[in-house]
Amino acid sequence: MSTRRIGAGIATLVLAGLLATPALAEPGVSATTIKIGMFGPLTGPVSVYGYPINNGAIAIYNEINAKGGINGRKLEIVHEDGACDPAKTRAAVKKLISRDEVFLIHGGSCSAAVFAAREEFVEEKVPFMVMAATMDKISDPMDKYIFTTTLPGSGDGRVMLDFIKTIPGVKRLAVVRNKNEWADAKLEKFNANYKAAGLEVIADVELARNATDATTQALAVKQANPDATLLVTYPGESAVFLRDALKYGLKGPYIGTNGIMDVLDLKDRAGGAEAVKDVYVSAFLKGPIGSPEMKEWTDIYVKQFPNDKLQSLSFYGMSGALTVVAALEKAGKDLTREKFIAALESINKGNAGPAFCEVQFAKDRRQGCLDGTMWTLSADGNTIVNLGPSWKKIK
Amino acid sequence: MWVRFCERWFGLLLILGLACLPFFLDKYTQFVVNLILVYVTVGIGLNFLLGYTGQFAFAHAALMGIGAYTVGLLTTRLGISFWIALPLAGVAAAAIGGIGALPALRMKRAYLALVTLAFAELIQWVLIRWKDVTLGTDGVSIRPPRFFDYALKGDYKIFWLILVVTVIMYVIARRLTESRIGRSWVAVRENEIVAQCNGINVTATKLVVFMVSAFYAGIGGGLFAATLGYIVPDGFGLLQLVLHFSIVVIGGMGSVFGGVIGSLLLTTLPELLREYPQALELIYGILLCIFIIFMPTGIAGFLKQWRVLPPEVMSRNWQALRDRPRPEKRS
Repeated sequence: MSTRRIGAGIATLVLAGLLATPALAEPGVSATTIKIGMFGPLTGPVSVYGYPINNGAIAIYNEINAKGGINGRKLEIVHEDGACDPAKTRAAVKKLISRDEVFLIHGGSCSAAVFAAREEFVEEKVPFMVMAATMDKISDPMDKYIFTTTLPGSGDGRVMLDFIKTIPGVKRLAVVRNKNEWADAKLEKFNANYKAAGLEVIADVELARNATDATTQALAVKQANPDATLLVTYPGESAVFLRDALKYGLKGPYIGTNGIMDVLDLKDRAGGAEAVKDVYVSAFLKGPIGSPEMKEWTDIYVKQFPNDKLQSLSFYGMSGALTVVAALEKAGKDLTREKFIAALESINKGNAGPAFCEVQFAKDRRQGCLDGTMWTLSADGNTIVNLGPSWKKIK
Repeated sequence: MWVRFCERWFGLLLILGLACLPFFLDKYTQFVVNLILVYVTVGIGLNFLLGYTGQFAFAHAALMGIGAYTVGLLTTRLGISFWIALPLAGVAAAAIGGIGALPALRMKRAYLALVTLAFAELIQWVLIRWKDVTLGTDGVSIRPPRFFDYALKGDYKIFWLILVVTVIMYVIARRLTESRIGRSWVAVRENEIVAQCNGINVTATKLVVFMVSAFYAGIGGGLFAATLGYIVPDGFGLLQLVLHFSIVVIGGMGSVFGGVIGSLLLTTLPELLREYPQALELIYGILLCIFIIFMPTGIAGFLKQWRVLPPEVMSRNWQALRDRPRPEKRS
């Protein structure tokens, strides 16, 4: 046999081998499953928020699995703890990508921790859907692989400002706020635009995280005598401030972020309806818990987690999960990360589930939900009333 | 002689073994290894203060934050090279630690703890509110260090830098504890009056240990910033401090190697228990109780007691001291 024949034979074998080699599978996708990575604060002081938020998304994914999955594949959730700590969150994301080899990641409730891990998604080209973190910097400036259906902090600030502009006779504001990245994100757009709206901030008062007394803050606001008070504080501190504000005879209206949209819960924490009767809060849910608009989503959550206490946090992760599901369906059976991203980019007026908005992405848009509404308590203090974007007198 | 010889060769082999790790590890494990090394430096620093000198100071996490922010702000905002910024991180932390130590020098136990805790809160307050300089709660994104035109970006590349710095800091720590300075720390810990009677300037010794400890925290903070790529003031609060104390208490108080064991265990354990997040905090608490009750000198002390680890001698010429002619006993 001549050398040329031997060479040709080897070349044929190599070519046949190459042709016979199956195409490299997309990470996290098998014939029967799609692996979705999830992370959030499951330990530490913030874990009380972590579980209900993630469980909302898990409830949606489990519901889809119960209906047969997506294009013949079941969704497999890999859950990691970030403990609301930048280092632990980054480790969790690295583990999900390099060891668990997930197809996409849906997670993150703590803004700073999510931002610390942002580079991982960008470098590894892994699609990431933000669960509940609101820091604008996570998704703006946009990156191809990062999407959010959570109303960003700037959006919350805009919803509150637009509402304040419609309250008759309100020109001078007091701001009571936490001092952290969450509060700063909410106030950034607000601070940039309130002067143009003819408003003036006459007092800017800080309230520490987990404060149990707000006498100093309440008296400072009382002395400033504002037309309205903006509350950029978490539920616990908001309740403490409203309780002390009532004690020292402060007058509303009080305008709060969507962090305290569960006004009925705020009422219980503040010690009764009297303390929250003039409170208006930004909200990104279609309706309060127990309302007809929320029934479908409440049923899904309760079916999966019957022992959990239902709270507004339980619905935070659902819009992202529904959007992920819609994009996976759209991407088809021959699933790749690039096809999934293209499918996400093509979502127009997508179903946001319990969220107030309709999801809208595009090639140059990664913040899918920018709409919010305002809620307040009914006159009897027993139900939540959806006011829409502008102020109305409650009878 | 034999012990020191073995220790050196074991150390060299360990460093060589560590240096090969990037060829075998995935990115996640490499990141955890990087964090372990960062905490070795931080843990050794706190051990000087807590273990060697017996000073219950609570500003270590905040001083680590000073180091991290010095590196972050100098490299990102002023464009200064990382190689200059890292030593400056140690110097800045040492200077601020020294200033913070001044009112604390005459205090002990609970009073010292309270003063240093207030000082740590003050540092964090400044990091959050001096927004024009520190960027406040927005945090600082850190540029990767560059070695000439080569960017040390990513977990594998940054590892070499962290390993070299950690080894240097470890060797310096061993030398320090074997020196007159280290012995004076222990003397102050055992009895300040006796130390003073032996010619040790207690105030100066305390000031030095506060500054050296802060220097280590600063360098550790600088490495932490480079590892993480993004820092926020909240990252240097109470939880960080609890981790530092756990590293020293569980690893071994008054032992440089204890810092290595502590950081290895305390960084790895939460990662190993990732599958059981609800059990993690419980196990962490139980472990702390066990170590405080049954191993007050930590794992390093326990291993020394069972002769698994050689004793840490506090003099480089300890054999000469051992063999020195002793005065005859009078009958």
